[in-house]
Amino acid sequence: MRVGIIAEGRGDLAVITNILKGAIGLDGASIQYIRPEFYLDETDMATMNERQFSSWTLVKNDCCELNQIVDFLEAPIDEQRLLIIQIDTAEADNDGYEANRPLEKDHKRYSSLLRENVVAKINEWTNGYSTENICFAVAVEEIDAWVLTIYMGEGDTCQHRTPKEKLRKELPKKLSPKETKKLSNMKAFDYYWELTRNFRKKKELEKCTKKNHSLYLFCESLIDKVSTLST
Amino acid sequence: MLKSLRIQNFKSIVDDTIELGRINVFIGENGCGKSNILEAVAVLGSAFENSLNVENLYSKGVRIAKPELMRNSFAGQPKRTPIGLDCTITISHANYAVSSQIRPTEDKSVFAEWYSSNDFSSLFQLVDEEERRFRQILEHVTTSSDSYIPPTENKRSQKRNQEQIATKSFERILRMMLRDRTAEYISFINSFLIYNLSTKALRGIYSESKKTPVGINGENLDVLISTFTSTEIDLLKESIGFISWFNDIVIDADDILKFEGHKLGKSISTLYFKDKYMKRGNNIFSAENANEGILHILFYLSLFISDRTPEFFAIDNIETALNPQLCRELIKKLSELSRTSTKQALITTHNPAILDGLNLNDDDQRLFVVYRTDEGHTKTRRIKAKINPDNNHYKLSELWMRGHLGGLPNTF
Repeated sequence: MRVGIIAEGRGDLAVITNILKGAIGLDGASIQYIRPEFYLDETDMATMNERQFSSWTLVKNDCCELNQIVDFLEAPIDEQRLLIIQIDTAEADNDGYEANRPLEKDHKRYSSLLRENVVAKINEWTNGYSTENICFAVAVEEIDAWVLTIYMGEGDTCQHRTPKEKLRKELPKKLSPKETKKLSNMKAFDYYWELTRNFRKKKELEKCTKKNHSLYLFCESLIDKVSTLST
Repeated sequence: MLKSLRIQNFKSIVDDTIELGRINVFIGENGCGKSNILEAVAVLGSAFENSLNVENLYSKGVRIAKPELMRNSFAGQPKRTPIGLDCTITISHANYAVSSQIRPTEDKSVFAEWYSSNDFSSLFQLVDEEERRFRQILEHVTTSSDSYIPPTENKRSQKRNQEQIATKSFERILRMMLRDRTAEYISFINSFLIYNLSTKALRGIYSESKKTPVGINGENLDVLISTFTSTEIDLLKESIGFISWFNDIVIDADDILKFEGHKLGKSISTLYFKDKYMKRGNNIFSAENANEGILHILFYLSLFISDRTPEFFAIDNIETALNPQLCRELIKKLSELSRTSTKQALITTHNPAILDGLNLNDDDQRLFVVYRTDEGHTKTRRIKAKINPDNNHYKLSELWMRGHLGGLPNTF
């Protein structure tokens, strides 16, 4: 099976890659990074800042235009294909995103409903394009909340309003100064890949899914989808 | 023809099986192990001819290292496991499995000798079957000749003696023939070479490989062409038609042109080209001065056309010195020639344009992506085209560059 990923940023790609290994044992060689920037050359990128090739708006663009999705899923290659669309909910209130936030206090219920609303929004963007070979990685509120599950104790990590900031504060407590310094010099992809290395182990990933319901829902849908496509 | 190949414990390949066609193109990022696959076949050939010494392997294009590196050196892999090379060969539409287990005499030395234990049992069965058929013929001949001998006691005994002598001689010849046939069946693997062209060798300026009729770097191309029959020459000229300026090939056996100032004379090649656009009488230039592309193309075409070159071989980095459109035309032409000249080739490339010359709907033409797994092990995956795809907007080269085939590094 070949799996394509459309994600907001490079760090998100790294996290999803490690989850794919832990959840379904997928080898990195079977993964194709579609977004961000795969179709740009250095001439284009030299005239753009990172926000221009790495944000939720570009994920939305890919969904609305459908070109990248169709090219990947309907490529004339004889093999099973699955596309993962990753998006955070942090900007769900922004103009153009506008996914309803549920008025739910329970973290699990809140995550489930918000995920459903975001998936419905993506389906609007893709104008009802078949989701048979698509799996949604909806991170409540940022993918950093998924990363936090490795570095925090009990409790759903989605309760932190700014998980990125929380992660930045937590890491020095868990890692040695040498490790923290090494990480700070890494590029986004390598940084998140290293931080989420534990996701590559099935049991570790299973433990982490208990600390973030949106991560659990993604893993569950991924395993279901792969199982359906394989039969 | 080699139908399938299983490689175990060789360099970066832990265990991989490849189902081959006639023209097999391998793509993948640098260092993924494409060349290791080619080398495994060359090692298999040397194992079959019991000639696993450094000189023989090197002359076939194998990169030699100490045995610890010729076998897997991955963490967690058992040490001192032999290299395992199993293959299936097709003879008259039937498949036969042959295999070899290869071990070094010592682990640390780069000059270590290797030895192999080969299993040709399935081929022996084939040969046994042939022997059975020969014996039936022999019996038939002996029985039919009975009626011509008068039935007297003396003559009977004389005939029996003659028959015994004839049968023994016949059996000796038969055994020799059958032994030769076993060798013949695997000879196409023994003669497998990895060609990796050097422009200086093609120009006749540098000569390292002593392989005949042409060296693995392109040595002696002029000598090979000089042996071509008129049919082969015509086919060569016709095949090279996609070079726009090409008019003709000249082999200056007497080296007269050299003294007329057509080259400096550093080259020993007697190969010359005629340019279609230059004025007559002043349109000949030497291999020493020719562009690199024409020399590479001429070499590959000659390799596929000649019946003196190996039946089965590899070309490493076929795209060297070639324009993208020429890459496409070349691979298309080589695919055609491979069928008519019954050649089988393993080809590696980094140029997407090579892929556009392949027709993946033809089972003889196959494309493989070579990659390293998360553990670093080399694996291959065959790319098959969908039958009647809905979305056919992109050429294979574009699909590769867009990442749809794999075989690209994920660098960030």
